Amino acid sequence: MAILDLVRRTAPFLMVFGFGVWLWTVANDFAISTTLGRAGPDLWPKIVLALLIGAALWGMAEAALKARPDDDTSILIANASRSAGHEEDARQDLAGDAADAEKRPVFAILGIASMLGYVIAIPYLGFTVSTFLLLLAIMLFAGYAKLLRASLIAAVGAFVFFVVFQRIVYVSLPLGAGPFKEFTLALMALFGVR
Amino acid sequence: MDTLVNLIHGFGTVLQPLNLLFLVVGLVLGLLVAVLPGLTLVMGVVLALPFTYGMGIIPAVILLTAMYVSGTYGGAFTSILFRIPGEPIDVPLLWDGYPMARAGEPALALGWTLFAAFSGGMFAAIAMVFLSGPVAVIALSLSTPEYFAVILLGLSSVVALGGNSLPKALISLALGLLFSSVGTDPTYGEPRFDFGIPMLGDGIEYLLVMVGAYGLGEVLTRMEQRSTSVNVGSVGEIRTKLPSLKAVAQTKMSLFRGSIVGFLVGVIPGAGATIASFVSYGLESQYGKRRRDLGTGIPEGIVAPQSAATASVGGAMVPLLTMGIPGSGATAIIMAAFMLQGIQPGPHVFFKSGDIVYAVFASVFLGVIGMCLIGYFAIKLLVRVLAFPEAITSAFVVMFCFMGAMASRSTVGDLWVIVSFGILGYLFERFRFPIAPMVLGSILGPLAETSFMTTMISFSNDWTVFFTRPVSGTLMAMVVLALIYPTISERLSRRRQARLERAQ
Repeated sequence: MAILDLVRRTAPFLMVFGFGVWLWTVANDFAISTTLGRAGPDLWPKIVLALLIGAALWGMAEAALKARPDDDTSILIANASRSAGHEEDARQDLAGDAADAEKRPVFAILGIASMLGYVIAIPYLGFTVSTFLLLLAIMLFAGYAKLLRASLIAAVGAFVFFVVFQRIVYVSLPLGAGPFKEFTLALMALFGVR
Repeated sequence: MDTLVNLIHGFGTVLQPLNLLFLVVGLVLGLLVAVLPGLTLVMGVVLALPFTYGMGIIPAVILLTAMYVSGTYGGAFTSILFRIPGEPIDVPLLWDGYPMARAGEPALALGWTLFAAFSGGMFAAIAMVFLSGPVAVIALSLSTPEYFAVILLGLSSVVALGGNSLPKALISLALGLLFSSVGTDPTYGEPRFDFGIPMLGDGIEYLLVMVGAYGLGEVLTRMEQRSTSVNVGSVGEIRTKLPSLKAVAQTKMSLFRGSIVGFLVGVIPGAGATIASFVSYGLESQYGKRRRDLGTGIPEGIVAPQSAATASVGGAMVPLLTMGIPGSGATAIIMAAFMLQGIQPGPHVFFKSGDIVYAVFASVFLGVIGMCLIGYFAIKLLVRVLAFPEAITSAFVVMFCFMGAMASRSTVGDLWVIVSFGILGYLFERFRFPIAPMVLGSILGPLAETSFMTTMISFSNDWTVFFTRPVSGTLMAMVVLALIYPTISERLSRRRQARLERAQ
């Protein structure tokens, strides 16, 4: 159990460390590199990578040696609220409803899947249909229980975003493929967009 | 005298109909994002950024500045009335604001907030105008080693004040700096970390880092927490009642302390409105005349944090406009708005494009006035917004983020990048890594690298130059102090606390 806890605490730092070392090897392969008397294009990234790797090692050591509480409050805030006698209040109030909420990562994962699905689907389904599906998915996964109303809001939202992109921001949008392309073209014709 | 003339021109610019419209829109949006569940001030300013592409620099900066100013005030309503801080800024405010409201004086508590926001904001705006010129003169005399040291000091103070774990903040900063080094190297033209992907060859736009990490990351975090909407009940009785002049006179020292602390904290990179508000309340608890009554619902407990929070805006504008060093998430986004228009804020812009700079100054003044007027008259509408379902806000925030990504280069490929940063932002929140150092690193990275490389080339690769020149050496020493400050400060504070407990 203690080992599992240790792995959980050090895992993020271990990943950062691995990432840093890998990028260092990539930086070693730059065509032009730093030599004695010449600062090359790899110098700055390597300084930053040294910082990254060093900080990851430091974080790993800190996480392994002491199980510090998960507190990300700035030291000035912590000091000020402590001196005002509101240390515990500050912790609770800063966490807000997150303090009471039970964390359910599955919904965040569903959110990520929806976003990735959107990026994958947009070339095939076109902008309007994909946006409708994305808005609907995020609303439902974020806890909005009224399906019919959510569908209506998503439809209106997708339509409004389409109009904003086409008529205000002037961004060319993915048309989609097959029947979805026909649908997007019909919508564009409706707004006089060629 | 020149300053006043320029400021009058600045007012003239902001009062032009279109600019005034953007000011009002910015103020309303700032107040809304501070109240709306699921949105934060920085996130709101980030979401507005892509809409500034098509605007001129002046309306763009007016819009974002107005959002920044009013965002420090809007959350006060829900803090005082429902004990729901719209922003972390508002947490100290509710320790006295909410008890005052519970004691049957909600209108007066709101009145004290309005008075504090107005006075603190005005004080800081005046200080900002008169301090910026001398700071810009000093900044103009800096050469590349000193400029690099200034950037490093800014970044290290963001790291030092960003959270409780220095290694996490350093990792966040290093990742931001690395993302900014992706693409073609500016000195040699060598491709770096592009892995043969053409899109990465052009570099990673800081806008995508910003919008993805702050916007999508926050939505994913909120989805995980499954936050529910708030029932605000009837808002028919909500109004603001201004305090009497006699009562105001009794809080003058709290106001003065709060405004000065807020302004100074705002000037320090990394220490924005939230820290200003907490530090001011902490000082009030130590030096205030009625410090023993704090927490029971006294005006001083409202005036101190709110005046500091609003005053921090003026303070944060000083390093941004004079040196090009953004001190907070919101000023980083304002800096991004400048850079999107091809303008790098700093001493040269300060002196050569005074029209822009003084328009920003004037928008802070007018923003404070406008925010108080809107807050006074539209409080019922603003409070009702709290009941808006967060799930709907989240869905639209995601789309606004995607819109920002697509609008920047008109390419769907950027959606992959923004989603990646959204996931990274979520992981940062989950593992308690601060996001601000990464965002500031991605913005200031190219500037830091350019000044570092220029120094290395100019001084025959002698890196000791950063430490041997008087100004850069002093700044580098301050960098070290900034980095060791959190550890020392925490130890001293805990020791003091233990001594107090033993004495009791």
